[in-house]
Amino acid sequence: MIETTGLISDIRDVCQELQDTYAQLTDLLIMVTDHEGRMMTAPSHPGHAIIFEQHAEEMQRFMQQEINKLQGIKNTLLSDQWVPGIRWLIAPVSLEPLSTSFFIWAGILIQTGTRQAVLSHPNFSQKDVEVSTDFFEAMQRWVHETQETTPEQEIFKREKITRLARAMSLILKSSYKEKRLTDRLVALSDTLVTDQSAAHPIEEITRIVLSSSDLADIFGFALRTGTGKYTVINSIGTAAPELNGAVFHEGEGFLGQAVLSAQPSRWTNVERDPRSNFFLQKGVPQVHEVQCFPIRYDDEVYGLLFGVSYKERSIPGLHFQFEETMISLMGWYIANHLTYEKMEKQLQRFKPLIELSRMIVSVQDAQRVMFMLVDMSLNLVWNPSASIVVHRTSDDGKIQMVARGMQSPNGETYAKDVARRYLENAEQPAASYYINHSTPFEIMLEYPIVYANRTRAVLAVAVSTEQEGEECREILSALAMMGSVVMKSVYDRQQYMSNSNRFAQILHESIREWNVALYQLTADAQRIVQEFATWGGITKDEADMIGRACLMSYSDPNMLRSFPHLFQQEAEMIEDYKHIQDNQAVAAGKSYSRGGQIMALAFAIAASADDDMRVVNDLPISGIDQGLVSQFRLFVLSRHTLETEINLVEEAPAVAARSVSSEGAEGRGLEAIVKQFGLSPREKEVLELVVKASSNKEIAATLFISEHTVKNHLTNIFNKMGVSDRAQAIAAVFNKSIG
Amino acid sequence: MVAESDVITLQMECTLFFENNPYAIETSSGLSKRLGRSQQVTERALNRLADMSILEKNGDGLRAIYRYRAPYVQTEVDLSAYD
Amino acid sequence: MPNTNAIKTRAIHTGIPGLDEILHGGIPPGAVVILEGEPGTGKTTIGMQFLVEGAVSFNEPGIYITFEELPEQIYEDMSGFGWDLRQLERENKLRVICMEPDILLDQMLQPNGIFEAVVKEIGCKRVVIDSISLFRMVSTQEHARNNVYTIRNIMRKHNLTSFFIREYAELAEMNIPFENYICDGIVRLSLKPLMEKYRKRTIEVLKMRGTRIMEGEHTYKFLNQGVYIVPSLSMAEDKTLTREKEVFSTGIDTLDELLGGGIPRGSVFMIDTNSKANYRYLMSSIYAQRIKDDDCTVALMSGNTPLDTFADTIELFGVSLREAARDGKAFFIEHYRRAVDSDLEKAMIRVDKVANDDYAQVLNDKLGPIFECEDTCDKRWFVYYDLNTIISERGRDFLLRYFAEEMSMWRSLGITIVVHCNFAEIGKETASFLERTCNGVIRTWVDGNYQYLQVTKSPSGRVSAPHIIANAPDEPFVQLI
Repeated sequence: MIETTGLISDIRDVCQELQDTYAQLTDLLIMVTDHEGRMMTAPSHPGHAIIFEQHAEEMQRFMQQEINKLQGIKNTLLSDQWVPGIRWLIAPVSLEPLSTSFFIWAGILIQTGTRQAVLSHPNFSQKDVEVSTDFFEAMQRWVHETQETTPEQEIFKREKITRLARAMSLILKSSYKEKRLTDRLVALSDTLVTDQSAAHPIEEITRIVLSSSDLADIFGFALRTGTGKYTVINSIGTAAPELNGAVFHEGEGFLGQAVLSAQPSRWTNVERDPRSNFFLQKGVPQVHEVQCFPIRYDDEVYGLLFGVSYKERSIPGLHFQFEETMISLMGWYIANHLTYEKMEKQLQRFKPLIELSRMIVSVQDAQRVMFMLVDMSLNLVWNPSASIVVHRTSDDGKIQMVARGMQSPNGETYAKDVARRYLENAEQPAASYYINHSTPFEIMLEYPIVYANRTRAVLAVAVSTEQEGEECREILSALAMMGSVVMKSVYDRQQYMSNSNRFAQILHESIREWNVALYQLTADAQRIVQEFATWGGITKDEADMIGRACLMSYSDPNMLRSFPHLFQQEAEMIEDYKHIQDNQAVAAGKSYSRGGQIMALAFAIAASADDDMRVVNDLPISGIDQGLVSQFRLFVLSRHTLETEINLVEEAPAVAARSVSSEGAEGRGLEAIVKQFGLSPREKEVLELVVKASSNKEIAATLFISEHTVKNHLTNIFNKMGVSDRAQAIAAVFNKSIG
Repeated sequence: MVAESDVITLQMECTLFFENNPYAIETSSGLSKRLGRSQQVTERALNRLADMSILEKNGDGLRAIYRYRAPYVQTEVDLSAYD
Repeated sequence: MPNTNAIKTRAIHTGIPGLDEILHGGIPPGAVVILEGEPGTGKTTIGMQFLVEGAVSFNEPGIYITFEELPEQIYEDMSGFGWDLRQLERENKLRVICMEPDILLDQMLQPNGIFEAVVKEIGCKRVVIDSISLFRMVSTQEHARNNVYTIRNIMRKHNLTSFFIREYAELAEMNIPFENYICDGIVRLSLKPLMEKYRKRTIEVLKMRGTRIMEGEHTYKFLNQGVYIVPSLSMAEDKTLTREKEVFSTGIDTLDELLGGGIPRGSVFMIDTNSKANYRYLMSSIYAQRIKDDDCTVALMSGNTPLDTFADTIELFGVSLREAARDGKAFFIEHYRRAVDSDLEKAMIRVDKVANDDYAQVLNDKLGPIFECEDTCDKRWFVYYDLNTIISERGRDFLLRYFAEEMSMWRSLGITIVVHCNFAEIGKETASFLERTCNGVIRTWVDGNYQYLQVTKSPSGRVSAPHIIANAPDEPFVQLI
């Protein structure tokens, strides 16, 4: 029943105790209400307090009526307006500067010799429709039981009640301040703690903090959205919806000056200041005071919190300072948060970018690098709209472009513009990126991609705001850098290949004059090496290198070594090949390079152009790895099948020649066998060696097991495969791999 | 709660996958199995890529399918003809 | 394929060697064919080969839809056959799509769904769905039936010729699966035991609406370039009857299989051996088989095999060459003065003193009457010719001048000729000339510890995989593995 809102309980207890003491002292019923007649304390009087418990409504209505008449009183007064002769001492409890105030009620007082008159007063005897009979009877009883007071006694009681009012005023004022701050701090800390995960935490927190502040009538929250440009993203207060989205610039108006000074600023009495127009135009009815709190961190201003008051506000000094400090802190908190967010945003992208770099270093095709740069740049900016890579592929004035978010003809026009600005100039750019405003695509961040001593490509990404551009420029720099590295490796490879291929071709051509047969033979050997690669025996790169060695095989290896950076490996292969040719024994513990071995095999086949099928039996063996020889036999075999197939095809609708690639047909057959018959890994190893025509002794030596164990393995393998001897086992593997 | 950087990483993995397999047609669950990632996060990454127009999305929810939209490519822009 | 039936011009050629022959040309356009088999029978390979052949040979782009395998796995597996599927995708001739069955259906039913979009995008003509068994797994029988039925209708609507792959194992305890009623064809792949030790892959067309099929099981193999189907012997016989032509056996079953039944009568076959290869049993088997079948034979004797040795070898096969010669059913062209039993002398056509210019004339004079003799005119003639002897005795130039002319004359008489020679020794030019002149080439060579055999040319256009020649205890004493 007792209204406690607005009073901290221990303060109320103090007030109650004070009030009880004074009630005993003055022998009056005393209680405290707020300005609407709500009871703030329990009435203190041993006898008649019960009337307030039983007739609260009536009492409140009565007191409300009284208070309305008493607006603005400063001193204790005696009132008997309800029923003449029943008098109350009413003392205002000032809570200045707050507009609210409390009232102490102390009663009732009956002047000496008036009791009868009071009881017979028509107001009292005539029944008021709104008042219950019970209430009248209770009041009459109270009047009966109340001792009449003399004028001296009245003066004494009035003084005491005035004192009580003053004491309560002091207590409540100080408690109010304390409570106010506590409430704010509690609210703030709740907000800061609980709202971390909200969708727009910053805006939400700002709204909560500002909307409970009484520093101003309207609050606004602006963020930097471009160089020197700020946009109000959130405003609080009924009169200011139009402020949302308002833009101001550095130095412009109150707000612009505040961000420039980077310090909290306050302007008062600005009703006629032209700078107030900014607010008036946005529907703010009146501007008396403007307060600004820049959001800054590390000398960088990210935005502004500001408040506008319509008229003068009377806020106690401490309270004002507190609010000011609070909002400044708020600004700092926001700045911190934004910085963190920005860093976080970049970190969130750096990590994937680093992971990405591992996946893309192997890309060996310029166009794929371009695809990757375009797609990844969109992944890395916050609000992707368009991205383009322009690449100069040759010196013939042609460029290549890959773009998203831009089409013909804008894309081409822009690509040409970029090419003209970056790619025609041999000089390397001074900066890692440039910001271009004069394009059809909002703001373009342009990153020159430099490799082999000049700008050869440009990555350009469209961003919608300068702010965004600032935030993602580093990460895009990193991407562009990555692009440079990969592009360079593609380029180097091409350069190396084309240089070495060109030299090899020239050297090869030079022998045509004096030895056509040799010219043809070396060309054939190169072709066979390429076919071997297509078949799957070696990689394309290996084949290119060995092929070059074939073309230059007649050349002096030392002469080849004299080419800087070129032909070092080729020279070694040629030497090895020549040694194999001359049947020179391999030095102990040394073996010929694989390239040299392949050359020897390729030349053997090339030299027997008549029928390679037969040559497989007479392949040079000495110095050549046995595995390689059998690989070559299979290759020749399949090459032959393939040729026949193609011959066939000439009669039928054309079937494009299809390459046969594999890791080696034998291996495939072996795998199939292992799978089909469920051979163990060890059994697979044994079978592999069987297929390579190893004897039990050799198998035992290779696998570090006894011959007896080899035999056991073989028995198991044969049983599993359902074959009775080695030959059938080999045949099975062979059939699996070829047919 | 999946870290933003993980979503972006997955975004990039998906991008690379589609760059390498430009004709693949995938659902989020199909691709999540392929990349060994959770279906939910994969779906998020794919939807973002669809928002960026790197992928084309057909259908909704689990039945949505994604394909790569090849970027606009011009291999022979002639510089000598300035406009 | 060379044997395409004229009336089947509109058929969709599968491009899988052998299958179009079994199907008399191919599959009717827009047909839905069930391709079923146990795991490991090569359904995926055949399905993909159908698409690859379509894309490469007939400019008919295709879509491979897989519910379980990832495209990358398929790319990888199929690269073993030399198929660069990614490249075909780049050329807009193929798409490998992996999606769940319900999503596929969803997309198919949507106007302008992904399926339709892709069909339009590449101008798709062929589709493989791997596998419809999954429809059964993810829903009720009723649903599965509806779904497969719907998909079939969509295929027909777009006129897509398609293979629906179905696992075979699951059918064991089932009645006739519903798909069999709604599809246009059924092709079954099986693995069968072969000669106790090996397993043989067979393919059988159980049903094909709108086309004749060659019934029975046919062997197939995985070669470097994909699946190769060897139409079975019975099939070859059917065909020879319709063509009023026939083949004869080589006496070696496995070789007959490679040849699609045997050596066609009236053709010229070349047996090319290298010096290490033992061709004697091969040649003897063919020769002996002719005698067994009561054919008349003429043999040009080689320098290193006198008639006695030759006859003894033939006798190992249970027939008597000497007897045939005495009966006037076997003759021998002899370049060397080697004595023979007197009763065999009448079978000898001795040409040791005949000059090159007269050789053809002499041979014709002697053989002409024999070929046209009344006693033997209802007989079929077989000639074995050792070209190495001709080259060593009469020179390469002679061979080039004489051979084609002589062969064509004999062929015109319906005589079958098997020529033996060593290509390597006669030079590339001569060899390729001979190869062109012959209808078929059987090549045998030794590599390492094994001897191999391969049919590298045949009238049907078939090329076999290389096989290992293994010894056998009984005639024909060799077998191909």
